[in-house]
Amino acid sequence: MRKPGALAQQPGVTTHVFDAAPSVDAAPFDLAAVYAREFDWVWHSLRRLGVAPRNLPDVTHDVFVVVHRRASTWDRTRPLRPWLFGIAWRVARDHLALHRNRRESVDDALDPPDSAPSPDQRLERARALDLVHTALQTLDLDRRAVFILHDLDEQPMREIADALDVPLKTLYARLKVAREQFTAEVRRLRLQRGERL
Amino acid sequence: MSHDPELPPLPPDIAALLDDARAVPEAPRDARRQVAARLAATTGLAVSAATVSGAQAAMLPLKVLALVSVVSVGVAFGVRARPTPAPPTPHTAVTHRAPRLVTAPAPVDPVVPVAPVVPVAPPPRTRTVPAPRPMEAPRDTLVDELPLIDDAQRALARGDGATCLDAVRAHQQHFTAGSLSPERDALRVQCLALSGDLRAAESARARFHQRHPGSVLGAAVDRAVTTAPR
Repeated sequence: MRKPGALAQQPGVTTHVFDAAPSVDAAPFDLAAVYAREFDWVWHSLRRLGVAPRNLPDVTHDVFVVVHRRASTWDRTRPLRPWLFGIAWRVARDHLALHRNRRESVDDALDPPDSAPSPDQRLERARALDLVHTALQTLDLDRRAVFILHDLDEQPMREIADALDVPLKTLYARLKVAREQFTAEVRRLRLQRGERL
Repeated sequence: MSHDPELPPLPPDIAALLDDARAVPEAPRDARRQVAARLAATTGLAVSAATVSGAQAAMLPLKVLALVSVVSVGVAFGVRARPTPAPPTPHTAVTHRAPRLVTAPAPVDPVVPVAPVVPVAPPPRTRTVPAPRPMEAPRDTLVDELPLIDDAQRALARGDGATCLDAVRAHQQHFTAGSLSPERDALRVQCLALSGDLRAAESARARFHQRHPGSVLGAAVDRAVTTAPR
């Protein structure tokens, strides 16, 4: 029996979304509300996972299609985001494997800064985001996923293990390596850019 | 950031960097609108730009999956519901149609009172195609595209390949590079397979994969051809 909240471990999850009729849960899953609340987060998570900006609309759409089809697998007693991320991660993985575009140009990786802060803050923030995005792209996708969920989204490891359907010990090992690689890459990039460490 | 006792703390410079990068910036509004429209077309769920703008979403009534599942996508369903020699009876999809919150672009004359319409008869086989519009802004055409895609999906679901192809061709004619062109191209394959034109279906399938590599609709497109009776 599958653990509650865990997704089917199938590499082609995105290609099976139309195979079965959506199961009907006791309480309805309000896709519109989830979309309204989590669209930005899903979009940004896909960016962090390495989906190029030009592909984000398509991939985000695919994520929500799978969310719709898999609504009944969400354990309502658990937080939504790790479950959503599990879907986003699988969709992103399939997308990246198909398009073979794991690495992007720096121009592609740079997101437009938001408009609220001052120009200096925007620039600073854009640089930080760019640095994080660029360093993230050097990580293996499995390590990147746990690093994003734990160190950026601050999700507990147990929830991540459930959402990604990966043993807890494996996750700790992946995160340890991911942190080392990320740290080394950030420092290398900072040196390259002439920033102080 | 909460500290996991099993993990050593991050170096201060990395922790500070992650703090700076932790906030989730707002996604482009056009993208949010565009994805919502495509999602509505793909799933049959009422997820539109109007339903996704912040707090309004919380005011929406809950949407029951059982209701919308009857008309959702209609991809696999449409192909399985191949017409039998006898004409198909009016399908429940007509009465169970999901509410579409993305409204058609044609303005309603405010002088004429509009009575609530109960769909008691099958929809007409022909529809007035919206006038062609420039394609420079995808969000401008989405509301025009959706009715045609909806028509094609409904026709597919009730096993009406000819009507399905009519709607697909109308979409092709007016929205060649429209935002819903992946859905249209997938529907074309399914309509052709449903109509028994397997050679054309195969050809359309090849074009689909060429134009939309890695599309989430690819598996359904393949299935439409491979499961079609020879």
